[in-house]
Amino acid sequence: MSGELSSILSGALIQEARLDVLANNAANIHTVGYKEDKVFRLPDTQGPIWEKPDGTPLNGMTLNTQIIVPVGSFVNLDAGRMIQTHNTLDLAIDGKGFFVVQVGGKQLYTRKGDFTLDAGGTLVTQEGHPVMGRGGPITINGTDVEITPEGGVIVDGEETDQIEIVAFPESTRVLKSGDCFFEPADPNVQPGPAEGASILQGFVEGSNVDPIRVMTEMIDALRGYESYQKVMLSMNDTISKTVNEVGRIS
Amino acid sequence: MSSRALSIAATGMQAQTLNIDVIANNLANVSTPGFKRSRADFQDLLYQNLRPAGSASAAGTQVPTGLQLGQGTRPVATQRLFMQGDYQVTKNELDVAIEGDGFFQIMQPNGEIAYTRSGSFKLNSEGKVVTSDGYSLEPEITIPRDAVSVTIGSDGTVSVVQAGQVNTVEIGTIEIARFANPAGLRAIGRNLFLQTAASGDPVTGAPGAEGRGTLSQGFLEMSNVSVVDEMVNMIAAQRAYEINSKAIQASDDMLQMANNLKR
Repeated sequence: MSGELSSILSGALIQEARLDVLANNAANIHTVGYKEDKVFRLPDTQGPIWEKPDGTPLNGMTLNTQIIVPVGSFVNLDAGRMIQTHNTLDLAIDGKGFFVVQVGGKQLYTRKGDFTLDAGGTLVTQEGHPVMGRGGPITINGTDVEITPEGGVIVDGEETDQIEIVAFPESTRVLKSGDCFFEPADPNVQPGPAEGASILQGFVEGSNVDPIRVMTEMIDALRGYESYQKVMLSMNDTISKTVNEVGRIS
Repeated sequence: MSSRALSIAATGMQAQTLNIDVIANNLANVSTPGFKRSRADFQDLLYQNLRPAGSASAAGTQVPTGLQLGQGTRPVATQRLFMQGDYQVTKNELDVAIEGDGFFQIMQPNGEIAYTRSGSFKLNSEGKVVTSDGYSLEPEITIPRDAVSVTIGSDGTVSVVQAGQVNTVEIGTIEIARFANPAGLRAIGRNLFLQTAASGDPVTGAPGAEGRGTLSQGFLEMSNVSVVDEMVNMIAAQRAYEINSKAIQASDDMLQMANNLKR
């Protein structure tokens, strides 16, 4: 493939990846605790477009190759809209920070605070994963449950535990692991206590996807793709002219 | 492949369909006494890490950031919202509303106790206080046949004045139950809820004590569905459905353009 065509192809593939990400944002417009993904073009588009599956550059042509789509995504952690539910165990974090949830021996982080109780009275997510407190899962035995803005769990007038709210150092990249969970891209990054975050009881944090932005960016991605298609078509015409007409004698 | 966007947007459309179903049920119960509105709860699906962060790029440098592609959304739960409904004055002797936390206990025919916020009680042929479906209140309260008036105190005591008498006679107490997490209760229809592991065990007793609400005779707690809120939610759900359908259209258009490359 000629160099021009493949760089245009990678441009079109970026638009395609953008649409995939936008479709996922659109699908999660009403997902509590969802944070939108944003796509950006990587500045590093130098070097060969073809590479081996393991990422090393490829010289010459073989099968089993892939085209680099010079595109990355990051999570926009801006706050979503607070939705009042009046439910005792619906918690939202006002400010930066995450709840800590134990999922199969691993700690994951979430902003989705519509919690419930399991058979043992442990505070869990809707999927049954325990929410971490001061020293492990939080057990609630009693009928009067109050959560203070600092995360204190007050059961029948007595503070029994403290909900853990953590934050990552600035510039830490977080990855999504599904089910509204996040984890740091670098597993060695340790979160610290969240500064200035407070808990709102009786609220959940809605998705931070802006429908209007999704629509306009979708149009942008589609038209961007169309431009690349037009360029490819006109290049095809040029090549066709070169092959069929240049050098024709009569 | 842009057909990925097709299936992602399809999950979004399915989710919004469920959202509309829940809203429709809320709206259908806008004048059901004691009804509590629900909310559909969604989660994002697994992410595909197309180029993991930190992997080597073609030029030999490290890719600072990877591309994470989500696969859409899925419903996880319908969550019931137990905020207080409006009170309506009915002046009916056997209409009782709970002001504050708590549920009436209802004995189902199968012997299992169910819980309700709907306090529109009636008398059956034996003079027992029952729900509109004929299920009796637990503990049972029987109103004597010659009672001319029934008074239910805010603490749940039921007293009657019998024909030819001047003094009131106390005949029982309505007890209510409270849960740590009412949102964990399971709705079984007929305005009734069942206790689950998520709701915790009920703590029963006289109204007004230990954080339980008080009773108001002659009032009914109406549905907590707000028509305006539901209409707004419905518009939001419909538009979200539309956006997802546009994503399908955009993906379709892209595939069509790709197909048109070869003429």
